[in-house]
Amino acid sequence: MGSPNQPAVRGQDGSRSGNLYDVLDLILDRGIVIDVYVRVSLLGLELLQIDARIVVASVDTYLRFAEATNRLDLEHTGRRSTLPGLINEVTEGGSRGKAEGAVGGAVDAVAGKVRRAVGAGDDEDEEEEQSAVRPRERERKREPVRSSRRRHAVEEE
Amino acid sequence: MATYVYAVVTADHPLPTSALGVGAPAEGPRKVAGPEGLAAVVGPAPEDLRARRRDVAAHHELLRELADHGPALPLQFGVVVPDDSAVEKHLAEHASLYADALARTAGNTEINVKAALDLDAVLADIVAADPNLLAQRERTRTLGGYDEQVRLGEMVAHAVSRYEAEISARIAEVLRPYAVDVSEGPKVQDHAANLSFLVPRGGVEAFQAAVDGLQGDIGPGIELRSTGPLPTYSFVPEPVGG
Repeated sequence: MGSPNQPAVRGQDGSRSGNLYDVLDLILDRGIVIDVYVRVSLLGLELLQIDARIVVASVDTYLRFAEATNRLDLEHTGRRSTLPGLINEVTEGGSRGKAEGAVGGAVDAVAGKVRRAVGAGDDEDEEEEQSAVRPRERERKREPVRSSRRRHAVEEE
Repeated sequence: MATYVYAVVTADHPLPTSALGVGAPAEGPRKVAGPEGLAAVVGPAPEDLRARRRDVAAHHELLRELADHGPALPLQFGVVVPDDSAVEKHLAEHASLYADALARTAGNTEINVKAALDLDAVLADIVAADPNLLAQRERTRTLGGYDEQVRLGEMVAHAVSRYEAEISARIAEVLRPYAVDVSEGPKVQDHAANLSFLVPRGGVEAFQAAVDGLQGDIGPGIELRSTGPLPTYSFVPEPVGG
């Protein structure tokens, strides 16, 4: 990810909705809401907007975080600082490989819980979830556990 | 037929000609006039409106075209009211709120900056920088045990959250001088920051240059993505009641 000299990726003005994924949170979460009127029932969407923090604050997640942390090879990390601008050391390759599996596993667990929470088995919900906008190039092999407040989904087509 | 509301604009704002809005086929937007030179851009609400990619994109495109021709206050996707008279009533009740917001956003545009976080690249640094975490890691290794593991994991989760907050604060601090206002967006999975800036149209290039400069400073594990100019989704008033 982000090498120091890599310019920030920019939404292309010309491509119009090509960058829809990056503004989905704004379109669905920001903007004026006229309270007293019925906001259209976005079938499935409301169900997917569950508070994922509940999921993150689970024992399973903590255990996987702990496992990833235990496997870190801190001897080879070099100077440390939490100041964002000063973190320029790259974690040694060996510890990365080991941490990967554990953190990735935590994500799988979270994804599974979200599926259950929104009622997997209900055809409508599954259809919505599978079509969540998620361009492939941004899809990450490993998804670190995050206290994502919401999941946004829109139907393809 | 129910009315779908796209934006609040000034009454003289030109209607979009190429972006026709939600529905298939879209019938095209129209204006509903309100007091104090205000108007709402509306259209017919499709019967089966859902959060389809096509309709979400159509909502966004219409707002983009509106924003190209002057200040427009976007509504969130999916706001439907019973009829045009409900829109008129709403504009009348909140006229000064909207007039102020239109004045505030005039000449400005929104740029959103998201900071993707590669946790694998920074976890070791986060852990190593926190003496309490290091101690708990040692305790977990020595004592083992379920409770110690859970405690360690919980501490790591909190440390990661703090790290993300630092990243977000740093981005806001560095870019704020190039903007008129800043607004924190909803938390996005795998991201340390989601910030929207209200930027003068004439200052977009300088803002983007500042983003590029920040990317160079902020270190590995963080990838900045800026998107814009955008409709000013994050800089709208919140009408309360009615």
